[in-house]
Amino acid sequence: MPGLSKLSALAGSFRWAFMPLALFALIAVGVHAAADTVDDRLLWLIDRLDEVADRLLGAWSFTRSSVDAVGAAERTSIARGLTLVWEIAADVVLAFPAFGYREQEPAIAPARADLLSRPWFALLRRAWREPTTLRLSRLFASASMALAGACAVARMIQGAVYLSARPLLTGSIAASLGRVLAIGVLIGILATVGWRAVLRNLQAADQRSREARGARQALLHGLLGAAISVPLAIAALADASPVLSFFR
Amino acid sequence: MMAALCIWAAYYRTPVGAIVRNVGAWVLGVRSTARPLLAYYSNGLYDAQRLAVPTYLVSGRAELSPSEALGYGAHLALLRLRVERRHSAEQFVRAHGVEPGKLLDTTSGPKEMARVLRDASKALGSEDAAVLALFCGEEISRYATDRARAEGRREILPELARQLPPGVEPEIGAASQALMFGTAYALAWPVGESIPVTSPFGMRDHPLLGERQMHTGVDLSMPVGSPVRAAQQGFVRRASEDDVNGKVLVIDHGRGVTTAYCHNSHLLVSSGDSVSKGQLISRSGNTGRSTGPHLHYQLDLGSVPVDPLAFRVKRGAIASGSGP
Repeated sequence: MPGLSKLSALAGSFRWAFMPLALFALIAVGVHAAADTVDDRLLWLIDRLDEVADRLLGAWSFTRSSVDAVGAAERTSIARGLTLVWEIAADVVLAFPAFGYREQEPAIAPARADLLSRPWFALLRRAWREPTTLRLSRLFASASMALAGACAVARMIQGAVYLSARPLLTGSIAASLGRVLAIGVLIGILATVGWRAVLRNLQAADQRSREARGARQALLHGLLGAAISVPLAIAALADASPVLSFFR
Repeated sequence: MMAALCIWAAYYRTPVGAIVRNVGAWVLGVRSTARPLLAYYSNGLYDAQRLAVPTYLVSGRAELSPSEALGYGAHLALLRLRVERRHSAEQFVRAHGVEPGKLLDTTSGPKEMARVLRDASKALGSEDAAVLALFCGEEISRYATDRARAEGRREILPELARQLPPGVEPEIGAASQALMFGTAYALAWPVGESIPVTSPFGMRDHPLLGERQMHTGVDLSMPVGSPVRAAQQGFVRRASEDDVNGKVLVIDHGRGVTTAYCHNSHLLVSSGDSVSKGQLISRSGNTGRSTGPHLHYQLDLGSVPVDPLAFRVKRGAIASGSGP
């Protein structure tokens, strides 16, 4: 199959551009899946703040006209707007480092001793032995987002496969095909793109963590990024990573 | 391959992808297929839309059962759906023994729709799944329901829509309109039928400020202490007090429908409480910016205030309860 080999070689020659984009995309999908679960909670918070604001503004005649300025439609837009800003901020923190991804020559069947001396193992070891806010938060958040992103893509594949195969095959065969492919995609993404996205994040966090001097800096460095990404990462794990649903 | 799938998903399912699509369309001088950025949250369901309610649906209407109300809502949503996107609905009702042309009929359409949706609800397990089946097809609805169950989620439209691949957004939008209108048509009147409307919905000269302003609800003149009842089941989204709206309750009935009750003298429920249809929720009053004892009753669909009278039922259909 020389034609296929050429096509494969051609695709491979663009891997340097394609892979960073894929890492970015996977994290972005995961971040969105998480953000989509928090907009209702933000709306609840905005409602509570509006109650307090109305009470305060209604107390003086010169501010009383502002009480009805923010209606239900505005509150919904504010909540969703804040979610959008939060999501894009999380993309900046977690997904943008993907563009710094560079491929290295793959080692062939590394021995155990080699495995422990690989750069990514050193990254994980440093995160464990010299924990900083940056290292731990990026590791946790990017892993959560990669899992949520892989679930979201797998769900899209299951739906697309089932609904396009259904007119051609019986219901149960189409359903099984959709489920098998979804599981395949879930595992495939985590095995090819997911771990790279996590390690690339850890690599970026590690580089910046080395600049930190002392325990105080290790704690404070990256605190803002952690405040942005960790709550979304928790939402991603709690509400946007239905891994078991593909096996039911 | 896996990398391409990730990029495909991000392109179609995230606001970042929408920004890229908008920029691409702008550069190429073509129309973008991306939705507004904020519509990527909660699937953009139950969002504010221009709501012109046909008068024939409301004039002289008696109280409707929830399934009849849903029939009216689905009928109205179908009329608003572009003709070329009605194919699934036509196929769906034909499978239930109804000639599609009948659905557009102003008299028999809502009734036939109600019957079809009642049967489909039994078969699919929920009203939301039945309405999704009407607009997207039964196969899609069954798939979404099975996926939602596998994830342990509720079988409500936002969760069902989350399971579907891109391409059916307009039909999902129509389904959300049907459920929103259906819920609004099932609302009862919150006070006694004989209580007069002293200030209707719409632009008016404000009695205290003297400015021309939008009146976002209706004022119902009634003595202080009169019972006010929940127009439909729901949960209390707000129970607060300020110097403008007085003691105010906002009840969320789900599917994008909320009702607000202002200027009360006493609130009998608290924020977060569940309420049933007809439950006594407050005593009317004269609190806040008010010229006399009255209840300001407001109905919001998709967060936009609409005229509650457009959804008012005939005499004898007030929210009933167990005494004042």
